[in-house]
Amino acid sequence: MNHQDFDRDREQRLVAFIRQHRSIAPPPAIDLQQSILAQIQHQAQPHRNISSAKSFKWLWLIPASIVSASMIIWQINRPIQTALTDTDRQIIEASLVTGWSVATSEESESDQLLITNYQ
Amino acid sequence: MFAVVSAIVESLSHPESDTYLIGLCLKGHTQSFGRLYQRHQQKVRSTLYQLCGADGLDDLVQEVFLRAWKGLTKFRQTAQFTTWLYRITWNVASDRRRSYAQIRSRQVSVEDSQLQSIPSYGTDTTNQLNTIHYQDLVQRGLAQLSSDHRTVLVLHDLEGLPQKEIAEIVGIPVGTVKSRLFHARAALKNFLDSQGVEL
Repeated sequence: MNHQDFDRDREQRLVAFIRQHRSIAPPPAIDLQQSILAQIQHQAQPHRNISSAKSFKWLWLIPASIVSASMIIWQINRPIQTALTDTDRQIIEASLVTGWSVATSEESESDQLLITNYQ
Repeated sequence: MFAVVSAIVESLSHPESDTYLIGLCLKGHTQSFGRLYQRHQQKVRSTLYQLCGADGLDDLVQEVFLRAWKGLTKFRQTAQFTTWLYRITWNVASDRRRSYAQIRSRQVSVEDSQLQSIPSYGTDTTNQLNTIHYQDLVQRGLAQLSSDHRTVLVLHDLEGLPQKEIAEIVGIPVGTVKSRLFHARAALKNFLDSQGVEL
């Protein structure tokens, strides 16, 4: 038996000794449980209300986070809008008119070709 | 993680588990607290007795369970109820020691005089006398330890709690628990040696 084993053996014997000879606590008063329960009932707290209030405290975060997320997504996906100046408006208007004229003239030419071919 | 969750779910659904009873207590069922009291009062009582002695023991037990009732809303479901209750027990014992610190010396002398006036057991057997003698020695040996050493020794060697749980209860590292346990055992061994007990 080496030194460590010897120490361990002594410790085990010590623990066994104090467990064997530990004093037993005196029995409680007969009405101790009743006394404790009576005090608890007397000062009964609204446990459920407190706990439910605590547990539902964070629920306001759900709609708030949904609104925030929607706002962020809308901001990201929104097309960039710039203010139009009078010059820009005139250029666009002219472009539309020109484009429309070309389209109508091409359309009438093609219509005539179709009629000719049909005949 | 899954194991923890499943353990919680299982304990919640088990009608006799501490967690289930705590859930009922939180709904205002004081009788469920009575079940918890019946289940754990012996351990609480025994620990308080080893740490503080028999004086006012019922009051201390009552204090522990009243504090437990008041603190139930703060109890985390993932924690072990017994560990939490032991922590309250240890706090109550510490408060008691602090409040009695001024009159401790007077109490010890009274206890000594009471021990000296133990009635003679002329009709008892030698074994019974030896048992009483050794119980007295163990009690005195524990009493002479510092409160830190005594707490660790009582929780580990008498209550059988693992060192990790003691560390959680007392709020110290496991290494410190080991160290205190070693020194507490050595001091108790020296005391018993000095009293002629051969182990």
